[in-house]
Amino acid sequence: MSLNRRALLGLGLAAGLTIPSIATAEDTIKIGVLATFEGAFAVLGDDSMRGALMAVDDVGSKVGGKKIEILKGSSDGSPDSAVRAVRKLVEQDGVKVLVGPLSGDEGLAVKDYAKTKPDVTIVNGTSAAQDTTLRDPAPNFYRFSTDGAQWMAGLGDYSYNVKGYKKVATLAEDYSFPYTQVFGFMAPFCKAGGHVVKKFWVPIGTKDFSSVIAAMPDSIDAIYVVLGGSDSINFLTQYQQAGGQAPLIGGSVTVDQTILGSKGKIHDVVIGTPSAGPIADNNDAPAWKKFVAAYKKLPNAFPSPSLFAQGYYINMTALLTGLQKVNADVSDGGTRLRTTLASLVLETPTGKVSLDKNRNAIADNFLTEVAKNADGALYNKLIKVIPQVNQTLGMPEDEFLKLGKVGRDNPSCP
Amino acid sequence: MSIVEQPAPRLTGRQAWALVGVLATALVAWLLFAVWPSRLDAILISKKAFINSIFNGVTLAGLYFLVASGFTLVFGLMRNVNLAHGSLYLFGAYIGYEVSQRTGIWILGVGAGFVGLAIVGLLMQLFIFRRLEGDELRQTLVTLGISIVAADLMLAVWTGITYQIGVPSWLDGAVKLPIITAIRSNGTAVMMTYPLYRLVVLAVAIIIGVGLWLMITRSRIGTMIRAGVDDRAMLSASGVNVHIVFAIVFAVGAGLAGFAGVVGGTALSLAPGEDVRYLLASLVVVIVGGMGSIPGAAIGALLVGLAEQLGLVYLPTYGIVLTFIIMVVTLALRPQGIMGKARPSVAPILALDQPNKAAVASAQFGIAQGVLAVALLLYPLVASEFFLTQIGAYSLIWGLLALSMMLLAGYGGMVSLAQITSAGIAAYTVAIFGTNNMQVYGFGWPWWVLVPFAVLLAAITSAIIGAISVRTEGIYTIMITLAIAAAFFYFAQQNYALFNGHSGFAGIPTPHVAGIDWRAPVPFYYLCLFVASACYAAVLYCSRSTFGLALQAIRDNGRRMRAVGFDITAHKVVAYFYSGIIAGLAGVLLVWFNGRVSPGTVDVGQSIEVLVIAIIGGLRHPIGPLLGAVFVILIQTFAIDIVGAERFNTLIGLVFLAIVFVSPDGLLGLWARISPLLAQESLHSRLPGGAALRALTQSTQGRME
Repeated sequence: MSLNRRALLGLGLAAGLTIPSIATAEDTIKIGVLATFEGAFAVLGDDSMRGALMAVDDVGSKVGGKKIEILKGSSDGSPDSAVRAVRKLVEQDGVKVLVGPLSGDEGLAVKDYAKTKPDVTIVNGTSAAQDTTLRDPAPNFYRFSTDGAQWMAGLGDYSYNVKGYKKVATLAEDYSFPYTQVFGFMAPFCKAGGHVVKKFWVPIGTKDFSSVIAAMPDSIDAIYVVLGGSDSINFLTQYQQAGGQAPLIGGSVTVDQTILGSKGKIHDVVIGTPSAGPIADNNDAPAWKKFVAAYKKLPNAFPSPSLFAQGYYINMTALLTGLQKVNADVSDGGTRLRTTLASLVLETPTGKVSLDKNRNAIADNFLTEVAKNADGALYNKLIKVIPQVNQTLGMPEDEFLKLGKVGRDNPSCP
Repeated sequence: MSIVEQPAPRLTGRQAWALVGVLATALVAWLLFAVWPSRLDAILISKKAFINSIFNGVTLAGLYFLVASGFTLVFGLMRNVNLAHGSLYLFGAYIGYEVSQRTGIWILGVGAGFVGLAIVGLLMQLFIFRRLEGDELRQTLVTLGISIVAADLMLAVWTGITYQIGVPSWLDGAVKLPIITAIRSNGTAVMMTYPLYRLVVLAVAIIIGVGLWLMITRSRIGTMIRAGVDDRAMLSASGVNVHIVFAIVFAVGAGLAGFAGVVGGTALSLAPGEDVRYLLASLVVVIVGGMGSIPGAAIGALLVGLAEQLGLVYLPTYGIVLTFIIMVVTLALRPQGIMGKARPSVAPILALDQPNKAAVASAQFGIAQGVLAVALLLYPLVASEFFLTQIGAYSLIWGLLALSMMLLAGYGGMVSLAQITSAGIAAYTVAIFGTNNMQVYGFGWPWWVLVPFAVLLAAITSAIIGAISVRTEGIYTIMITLAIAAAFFYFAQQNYALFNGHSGFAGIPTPHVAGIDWRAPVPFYYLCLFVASACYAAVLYCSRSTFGLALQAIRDNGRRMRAVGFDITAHKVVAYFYSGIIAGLAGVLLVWFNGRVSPGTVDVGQSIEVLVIAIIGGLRHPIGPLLGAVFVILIQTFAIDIVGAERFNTLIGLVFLAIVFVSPDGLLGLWARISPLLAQESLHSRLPGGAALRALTQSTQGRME
């Protein structure tokens, strides 16, 4: 092979690879949407995209006179892939504003990345780790959705005072999101005088809970379970098969729509289970009903929007509102946009949302209980709206920070 | 001799074991049926918890046995490590779900799972494995490619939702067992209840196990199978159509996996990820029990099932690593498994064509290499920041990881999937002993102490892995290193004391040296380029050094080398050590690149990716892994623009399969085939140095045997 031909081939390849992306026209603005579009969590990513696109639709796909161009950034749920995806959006595709990521650990990684790119404005998707904004926040990371501990607001109190559960055991997977949820439940529960006699932490991906169910102490009043999706279905089936007597308390994803809709005998163990989270399926508020109606029109939508659709919707709406106020002009490195975002107060389908000094949301939380409707189907009945929950759950900040980082043994009230 | 002078009767070995057996049975019976004293209750949480765990462990073992029996049959006879076995399980489960949903009859679903997968297995054997007969490594790689593509296609069809196959009403509910779990305060006994379905699964597993064992030991076809396991050529020579036997065995093995899928999917639900889980479980069961042995699979399944369930209750944090510890201990004490036959290391008498062997590579610095070197040096001038780091530096890092594998696989004939583990150790060392922002450790050691230390730890880890794996050969090595990599992943995920568990470490800075921020795009690229070039040169040098030549000779005929006086084990472990150095360097660069390390960095998927890159690039020359890395990283990064994010795994899997089928030497092999065609009409003969150029071209094509 001659030198010329080989060299030409090599140079041609190199040149082709390094052609920078075509310059965008002056009248479009690129907005990135980062979610898990790969792997087993792609279903959640798809719902997130629905929420984001609903927000874009609300403003007629235009903001500040510019046309909106949505660019997808795909991760598989791991922090490394999320950072790679956001790098591609920012460094290769030239995006200056984006919404995402979806999961807690990804949020921590993207926050770290945000600190290295001060002229990019990142608004959260649904990542709900506490430390993303509570400890060492990034000045250009905004979270208009609440974190995993805020999602538990009202539940600890309700379980102790209204349901009368004094002694409970917890069962959750052994990683950060369940730690946060258990923290959010236990902090007020222990403060009210409750006791958590035993905590069961099962490895991620556990499918068979029967041995753990058999090891539950007999003296407890209820079991607080933080499991999602398939794990929750497995647990409930196995619990029913084992003839479990103690009632259950659910985490934010433990008794959601998909689980209540699944076939099987889990009805018996699940009726009356209280839970809490950022949405309630049968919320009567007109703004929520309008949101649900618009959601149902989308192709492949679930029967009711998940918290992923709601989270991305609210965060994208916030970003678009901010952009509108600065005429979609981010040529100043986004400084004016960020000042606007920090002081934004939104009316959303789930109530009023504003930001605290760490740029984390202060928003309503919903307390629900599983009930049977007239047709015999299960649904999450709205018990109470806990208004304007902040990240420190109503406690003074220094006292809250003193409680320490979430972990296996924190908090503890045996 | 009078009676008084006779020696006192002592127990023979057999009698001693029988006595132990009787005592053990008595103990178990007492544990089960008696009411426990409260002290025993306190230690083991409660009798209910303990007995339940035991029962759960045994019934789970039944399920594992069903899955693993197919795996071990296929390997025992056809020496084919079917890494797609987990995918067969999942596919059978999905088929069973669809059929039982539509017809409403569960048994039909079970039958469909078995028959459907038996057909799939038959087709796989006829159209794929038959063509690759004799080349075990390639067969294994093909099953890997199939598993990647199958997992992604199943994800496309059934999405990530969980499905639950309903337990049929005649198997539902719980039965009362004659075992007392507690005494109520009024004196009545509480009898244990246990789900009927699980007992049925156990019964079915026992029946099938006994049936298989009878078929293998008593039937004619079983005799043929056992003969084929011992000596395939002889079986063929004695007039048996070996291909039909293989086809039957593969069909039965796959059918069993599908059957287990439906049965398992009824007990526990189905979701993506189950395939990897059951594959790993099968690997451990079969390694512990012994390859090709049905009773071995039963024993292995029992050990693994009990360890898993008891670990879940009594050692919740590390129970999951317990299974892998059992595997490592078995390997250390009895490498062939509990019931496996000690196979003598088979020296290939016929020189089988193994194109994956690296040859002593030409180290001539010709014009082509010169152009490449200059292009790489000048790359920052033409590349954007993104291309410099996300493509350039990232490819070099993954290329290094694949290079460390190539050193072992190409020159040593040992395919190790634990390179990412050594790299992970280096990365975690930098995180723990350097700086991080998690307020966990971070001793702040300076880089010139930290980096050598991290690399040294990685090399030692690799040597330890090598020491464990060196007693195995070929396909076994792949399985054992894969299991070790998985064990490390689970351990890192569960351990907060050292590895900070699931969250890992973040905020790890790249040092500033001589006033330069080495993480800035251009300096970082040159750093990676420098390290990659140094390792590349080192591997090239190694291949021609005494050590490297000895290693290749060991790869080709270990027995001969042992006869000549070389210490095979020492050579292999030292090779692992060297590859650990390269992996360690890659690990340090990786943690600086990402600024973070977590269990996700070292999981099974990443481990397999190193193999995919090495194979796609080609194992015959050190430049192969680096090429493969560029290729795969490009596809990964831009797949979202080409096929949309969802199906890029299918794309990678198909490319991998195509490479393994068409050009087992990867891209290098493809190049070697194309370049003589392109060379036809060149100006070779007329250019000065044309002769040298021609020699260069020829040397990269041929092997200097």
